[in-house]
Amino acid sequence: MNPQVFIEAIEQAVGPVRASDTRKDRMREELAAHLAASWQEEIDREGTGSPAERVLRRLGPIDELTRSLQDSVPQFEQWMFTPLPGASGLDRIDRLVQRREGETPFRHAARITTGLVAALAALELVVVPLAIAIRGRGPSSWPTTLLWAAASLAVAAIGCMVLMLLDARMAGALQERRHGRPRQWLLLVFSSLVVIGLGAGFAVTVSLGSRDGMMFVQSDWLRLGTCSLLAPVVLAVSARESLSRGRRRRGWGLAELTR
Amino acid sequence: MQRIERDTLRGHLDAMVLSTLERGEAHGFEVLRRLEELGCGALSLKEGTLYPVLYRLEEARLIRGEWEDDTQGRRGPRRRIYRLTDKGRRDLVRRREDWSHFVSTIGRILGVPT
Repeated sequence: MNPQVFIEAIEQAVGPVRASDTRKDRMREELAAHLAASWQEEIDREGTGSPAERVLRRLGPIDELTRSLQDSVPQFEQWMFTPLPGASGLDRIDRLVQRREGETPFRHAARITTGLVAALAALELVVVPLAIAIRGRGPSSWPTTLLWAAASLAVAAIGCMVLMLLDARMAGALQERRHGRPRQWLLLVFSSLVVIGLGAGFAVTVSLGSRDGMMFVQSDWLRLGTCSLLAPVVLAVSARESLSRGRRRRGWGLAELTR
Repeated sequence: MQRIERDTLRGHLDAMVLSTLERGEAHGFEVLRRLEELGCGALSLKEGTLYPVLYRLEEARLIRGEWEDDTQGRRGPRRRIYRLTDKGRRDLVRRREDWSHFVSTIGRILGVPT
């Protein structure tokens, strides 16, 4: 069996549904389980057409399925996920940052970190001259400012790498259910502490720039510290999202049936 | 045997799904199998129609779905196991009463003994 036939049918049915990604992934995975079970039945049967064709016939017209799936989504969620103009651009960015086929977690993290650091550097190249132009004078010490700019990029790079690797590890722990909940919680606590540490590191770095009062003030400490307390929630949500993406990438295990 | 088509089933499918789950928890494919079994092959149901019904019932908290933890060596995608909630059980009782009332009323009009 070529699982792609089923994956395409599922995408045709679920893709246009206006709903959250979580809900749509649930629909996709459940339809995949259904098609797999249906296919197992059809390969032992005689009938017109290939087993895969018979499975899709049993499922019913795709457009009708899309409509009824859409009707099962609460009105508020349908409204919330109505595509806005320019949403396709965001989808393109989303596809760009997703882990590619065969890409290891480390390579993925390195690719995203490189992109992020390049974007931040470009932003600093715009923001710093702009700040100077607005203030009408440059920083009192250029070496300090340049050191601060380099340090903030380095902290951002390390932070991004560590966060992405932790995220991949968390998603792995969620998938490997045999390790149980305590291990997942332990990993979440450890990851959160690392993130809080990174937040503090970032706060220290950016506050270095406040010596000449150019861009940051000491109160940023408090804000960044408070933000880093959200780490466990963000990490848990992000790991679940990575897990869903991983399942989607692997076709929810449909390919396993052909082995 | 005369087949009962989709349009006739519409409106009754929710109650039928609740009823199949009263026999015990099941995943979507199993629910369909039970429906076919109980309908003695008379139900003509496009399989895809079941899932929106399950989602609606779950949204209304009449059933609860959970992904299976252990695939017990079975290959392929995870299945979502549905079970009837207490609210679903009460709803099913109400639906059964409504159905009995409907059948007896229409049966009297059509002259069909019930």
